Amino acid sequence: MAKDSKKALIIGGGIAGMSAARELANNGVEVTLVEREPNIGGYGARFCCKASEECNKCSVCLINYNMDEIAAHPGITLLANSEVKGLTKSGDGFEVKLSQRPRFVDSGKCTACGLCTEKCPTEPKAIKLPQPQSVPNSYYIDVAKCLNFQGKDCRVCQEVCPVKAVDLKEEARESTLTVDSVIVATGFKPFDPSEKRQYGYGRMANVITALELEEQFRFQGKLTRPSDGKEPKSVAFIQCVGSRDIRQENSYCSRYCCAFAMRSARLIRDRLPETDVSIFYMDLQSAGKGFNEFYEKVRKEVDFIHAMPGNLDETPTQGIIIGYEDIAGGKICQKGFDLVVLSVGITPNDNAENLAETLGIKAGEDGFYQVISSNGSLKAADGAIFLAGACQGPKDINSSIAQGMRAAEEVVSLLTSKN
Amino acid sequence: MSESAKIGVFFCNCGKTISERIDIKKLKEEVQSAGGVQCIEEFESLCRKPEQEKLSSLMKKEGVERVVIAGCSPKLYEELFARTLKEAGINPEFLVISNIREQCSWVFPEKDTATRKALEDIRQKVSRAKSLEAFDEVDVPAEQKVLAIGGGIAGLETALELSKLGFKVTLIEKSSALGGRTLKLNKSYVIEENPKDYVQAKVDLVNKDDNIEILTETELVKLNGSPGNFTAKIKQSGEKKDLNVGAIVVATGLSTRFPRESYGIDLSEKVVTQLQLEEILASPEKSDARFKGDNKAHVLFVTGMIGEDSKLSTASALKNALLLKGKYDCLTYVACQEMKVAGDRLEEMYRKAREEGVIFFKYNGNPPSFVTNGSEIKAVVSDYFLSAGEKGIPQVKIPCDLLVLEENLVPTEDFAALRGTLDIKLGPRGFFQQDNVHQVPVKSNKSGIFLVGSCRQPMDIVEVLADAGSAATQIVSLLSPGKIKVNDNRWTIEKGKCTLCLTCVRFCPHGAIGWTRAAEASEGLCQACGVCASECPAIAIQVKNYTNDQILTELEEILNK
Ligand SMILES: Cc1cc2nc3c(=O)[nH]c(=O)nc-3n(C[C@H](O)[C@H](O)[C@H](O)COP(=O)(O)OP(=O)(O)OC[C@H]3O[C@@H](n4cnc5c(N)ncnc54)[C@H](O)[C@@H]3O)c2cc1C
Ligand SMILES: Cc1cc2nc3c(=O)[nH]c(=O)nc-3n(C[C@H](O)[C@H](O)[C@H](O)COP(=O)(O)OP(=O)(O)OC[C@H]3O[C@@H](n4cnc5c(N)ncnc54)[C@H](O)[C@@H]3O)c2cc1C
Ligand code: SF4
Ligand code: SF4
Ligand code: SF4
Ligand code: SF4
Repeated sequence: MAKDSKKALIIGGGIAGMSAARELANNGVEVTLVEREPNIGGYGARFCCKASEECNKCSVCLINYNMDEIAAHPGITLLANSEVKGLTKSGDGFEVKLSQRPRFVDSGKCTACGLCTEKCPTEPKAIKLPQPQSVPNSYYIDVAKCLNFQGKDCRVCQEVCPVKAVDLKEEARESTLTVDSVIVATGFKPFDPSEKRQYGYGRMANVITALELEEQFRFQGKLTRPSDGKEPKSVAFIQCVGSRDIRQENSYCSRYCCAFAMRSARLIRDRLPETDVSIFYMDLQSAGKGFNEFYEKVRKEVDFIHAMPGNLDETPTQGIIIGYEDIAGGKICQKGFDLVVLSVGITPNDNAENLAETLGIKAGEDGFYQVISSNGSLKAADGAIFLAGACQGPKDINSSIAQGMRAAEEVVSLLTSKN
Repeated sequence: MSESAKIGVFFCNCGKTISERIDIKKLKEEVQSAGGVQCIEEFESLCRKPEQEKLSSLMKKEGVERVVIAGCSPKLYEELFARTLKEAGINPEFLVISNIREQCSWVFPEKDTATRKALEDIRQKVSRAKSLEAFDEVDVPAEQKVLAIGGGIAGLETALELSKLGFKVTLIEKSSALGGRTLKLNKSYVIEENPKDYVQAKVDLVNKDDNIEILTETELVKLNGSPGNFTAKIKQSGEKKDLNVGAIVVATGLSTRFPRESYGIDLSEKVVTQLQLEEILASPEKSDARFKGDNKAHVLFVTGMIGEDSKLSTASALKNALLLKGKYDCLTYVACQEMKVAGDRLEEMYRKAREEGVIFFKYNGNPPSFVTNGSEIKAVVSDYFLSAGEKGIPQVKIPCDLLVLEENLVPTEDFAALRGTLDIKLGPRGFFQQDNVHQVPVKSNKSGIFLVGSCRQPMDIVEVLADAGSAATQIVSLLSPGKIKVNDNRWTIEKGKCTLCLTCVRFCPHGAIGWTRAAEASEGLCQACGVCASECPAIAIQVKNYTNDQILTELEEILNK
C-alpha cells in the first residue's frame, strides 16, 4: 500500500463492514467505522453457535472473532451510535458529515463493571450493556427508560460509577471527516412475519421467528416455549417466510435460511434428544461445500416435509396445528407442534432509501442497493463508493465476508493506482 | 531459564468484577512472600488507555523484564498488552496472562475458592514467565513477484489485480491459449456481457500489461522454499527453468465428467451435457444449424440426479431453456430434484421461465428414466406435486429432440500431480482445500500458496472475481513490506534422536517439515502449532517455550503447595 496514508469510511459494523475494515487496516488504510447502534456486530452478534456434537459450520463464531479484532486494531477508529448525515465530493474523495448520538457513558472510561445497572431504579434498567460480549464493551443509557430524561431528578448511575464514566449531560456530536473512499455495509432487516397473518405470528405465543430462536440459544443457552417456559417436545420450521413470495414483493431467495433451519434442527436434536423436529420447505438450497454430505446427516435426525403450510391454528391440547398438503398421500393433513419457528427472509434495511439519497447511490426494485455495472465490481456510484454484505442483496455470513474483502480490495487497488 | 530476570505481576480489578470476588490483597501478599517477583501493582482496569500508559511507565521505571498480567481472558486483550510491552521496550514474548476473571472470579461463587484458584494460576504463570526464552526474529527478504498457475478468469483477474498493485506476475497456462472454460459459455447468468468477450477483454489487458509475463504450454514441475522465497521449476515445451517468487496463486479450474452410470444412456447427437450445449449455443452458426427451423423441438434439461449440489447446473438450465424458448421457439422442460435458486438473479430467472412457458418437474426422489428406440429418445418424468394419493404419481413421457444432462464437476486430470508438487491439502470432493473453512477462503494450508476460483470449489464468475480480489490483497499484505518476519529457532529437532519415522511430516498441518538425514522444518512455513512435537514418538522435537521441561515445571508449580 501507499506510503502516505489513505483514509476510508465504512458505514455499518456488521460482518461485512468488519471484514472490510480489517482488510483495509491490514493494508495500511486508516479506517473509520461508523455504526448506528451502540455496539458493532450487526445481526450476527445475536446468533448462537449451532454446533451439535460437531461444528455445523454456521460461521457465527466468526462474528465475535471479528469484533474482538476490530476492538484491538490500532488502525480502526470505531464510532458507535453514529450516522452519516451528509456526503459531498471533494477532490477524488469525500467530505463526510457525521453525527454521534450521546451514549451518556464514556466508552473510553467504562470498565463494564455493572454497578450502575445494579443501582439504576428503573425496571427494565435504563443503563445497560447493549448485550453480553458487546464491542465497544461499554454501557449506555436508553433515553426512553431513564428517569432523568423524564424530568425526574435521578443521577444514581453518575454518582455510583467508580471511574466517573457517566455523564448525563453529554450532547450529540457533529463532526466532519475527509476520506478517499466509502464502503456501504448497512445490512438488512429480517422480514416481519406478522404481515403473513396465516402463520399466526404475534397472535400465537409459540410461533417465533428464526431470530428469536437464535437469541434464545445465545442469551439463555436453551430453547423453551414462550407460553409456559417448558421445553418443546416437537418443533417445526417453516421455510421461505417472506422470501420467494411475490405476494410479499420479495421474489428472491434469502439464501441463509435453509442452512439455518438444518443446522438449528441438529442443535435442537442435540440439546433435546427427545424432541422431534420437522422442516416444511419448498426447495432446499445448498449451503456451500459438502452440502450433500451434511444433508444426509440431517435427514437421519429430522423430518423433511416437502410442502408449504396453508395456515396455523392453536389448540390448548395439541399446541400449534399446522395444516398442509401431504402431497405424496394426496390428502390434507394436520400436525401439532409445541413450537413453530418461522425462517424469516432478509429484507432491505429501514431507512435504506434515505441513506441512498444521502450517499448518491441507488436501490433496485427489490430495495437492495445496486452496483453500477455487472462486471463483478462492487462500485455503487461513479466516485469511490462500494457495497458489501446484505445491503446489496440476501447472503449468508461467508458470502458477506467474501464481499467485504472484495470491496476492501477494490478500495486498496483504486487508492494505490492513483499514486 | 532466566532466574535472574526482573518479573512484574500486575493485577487488574476489572472495574469490580474481579476484586469483589477475589481477595486481591491476599494474592499480592502471597505473591510477595513467595519471592522472585520484583514488582507488584494493582490496576483498576488495564484495558483502558490511561492505565496502560501508567503500566508502561511503571515497567520502564522499575526495569521490569518479564510480565504476568492477572486479569481477563487472553482472548480479549493479549494483543493489546503485547503492544504495551513493546512500547515499554520489552519483548512481547515475555508476556504471560493469568486468567483470574473468566476462570476464577466468574465461576466460583465463594471468594475463598476463587482466590485459591487464582493464586495457583498466578504461581504457575510466574514460573512460566521465568522460564521463557527469547526468540530471534529474522527478516527474510520477500520477492515482489508472484507465480499464477492457470490462465482462466481466476488466474487472469488475480494477475491483473496484482499488477495494478505493483507486483510482477508470471502467468503459466497448460494449454496453448488463455481464457479457460469461460470461453465455452454462451451467456452468463451473472454478468451481462458475453462471457467470451468478457474473458477476451481480460486476456487483451494481460497481454498488454508489462508487469505480467505469459507462458503458455507451461507447467509447474517442482516447488521449493517458503513464503517470500519460493523456487518454482517450470517446464515449457521440454525446457525447464527456475523462477524465484514470493507467492503462488493456484487457479487451475475444474473439469467435467459425464456420469453415464447415473443416467444409463450414452451421449450422442441428441444427448448432450450442459457444457456441450453451452458450446453449441456459444457459436451462432452451430446453434442456428442445430435449432433453426426445427420449431417446437422438445428439449429436456435434467439436473439433480448425480449428487452435485452446485447452483451452476440450475443456472445453466434456466438460462438456456429461456434462450431456446425465446430464440428458437423450442418446447423446453426442466426436470430437477430441487430448484437451487440461492444465487444472484436465479429466482427471477425461474419465475421468468415459468411465465414464458418452460415446464418444470420436481421429481423429489423419483428421478426420470430414459427409453431409447432407434434414434428416438423418450424420458419418463414425474412431478411430486402432481401426486394423486393412492393412484401414485403420474408419469409423463416426453419425446426428446434434445436431452441436456448435468455433468459432474470434478478436479482436473492432473490435480493429483499438481497437488504432489505443491504439497497442499485436498478437501472431501477432491478439490483443493482452504486452510480453515471459516477464515479467508483463498488461503491454502501452506503459507504463501493461495487458491483462487473453481479449483477450490465450483463457482460462478462473480464468485471467482471475489476470490481473485481477496487473494490479491492477501498477497499484498504478505509481501509488500519487502520482508517477512520469521522466528528463528522456534523449535529444535535433535538429529540424534530422530529415527526418520516421518510421523511429523505426515502430521504437520502446514506442510512445513521435510527431511534429509533427520526431519527438518522450514521456519517460513511453520506456524508453531506444536503438533509435530506432541506426535514425535522419539521426543526429538521441542517447540521453544512449550518444551516438555517447561510444561512439567509449570504443572509442578500448581501441584506443589
Ligand atoms: C435469523 C437469522 C439467522 C441467520 N443465521 C445465519 C447463520 O447461522 N449463518 C450465516 O452464515 N448467516 C446467517 N444469517 C444471515 C446473516 O445474518 C447475514 O449474512 C449477515 O448478518 C449479513 O451481514 P451484514 O454485515 O451485511 O449485515 P448486518 O448484520 O445487518 O450488519 C449491518 C450493520 O450496519 C449497521 N447499520 C445499518 N444502517 C446503518 C446506518 N445507516 N449507519 C450506520 N450503521 C448502520 C447495523 O446496525 C449493523 O450493525 C441469518 C440471518 C437471520 C435473519
Ligand atoms: C455447464 C456450466 C455452465 C456455467 N454457466 C455459468 C454462468 O452462466 N455464469 C457464470 O458466471 N459461470 C458459469 N459457469 C462457471 C464458470 O465456467 C466458472 O466460474 C469459470 O470458468 C471458472 O474459472 P477458473 O479460472 O476458476 O477456471 P477455468 O476457466 O477452468 O480455467 C482454468 C485454467 O487453468 C488451466 N490449467 C489447468 N491445470 C493447469 C496446470 N496444471 N498448469 C497450468 N495451467 C493449468 C486450464 O487450462 C485453464 O485455462 C458454468 C460452468 C459450467 C460447467
Ligand atoms: S457451529 Fe457455528 S458458531 Fe459453532 S463452532 Fe461451528 S461455525 Fe462456529
Ligand atoms: S439516571 Fe437514574 S434512571 Fe437514568 S440510567 Fe442513571 S440510574 Fe438509571
Ligand atoms: S434459503 Fe431456503 S428458506 Fe431461505 S428463502 Fe431460500 S429457499 Fe427459502
Ligand atoms: S509446529 Fe510442527 S506441526 Fe506445527 S506447523 Fe510447525 S512444523 Fe508443522
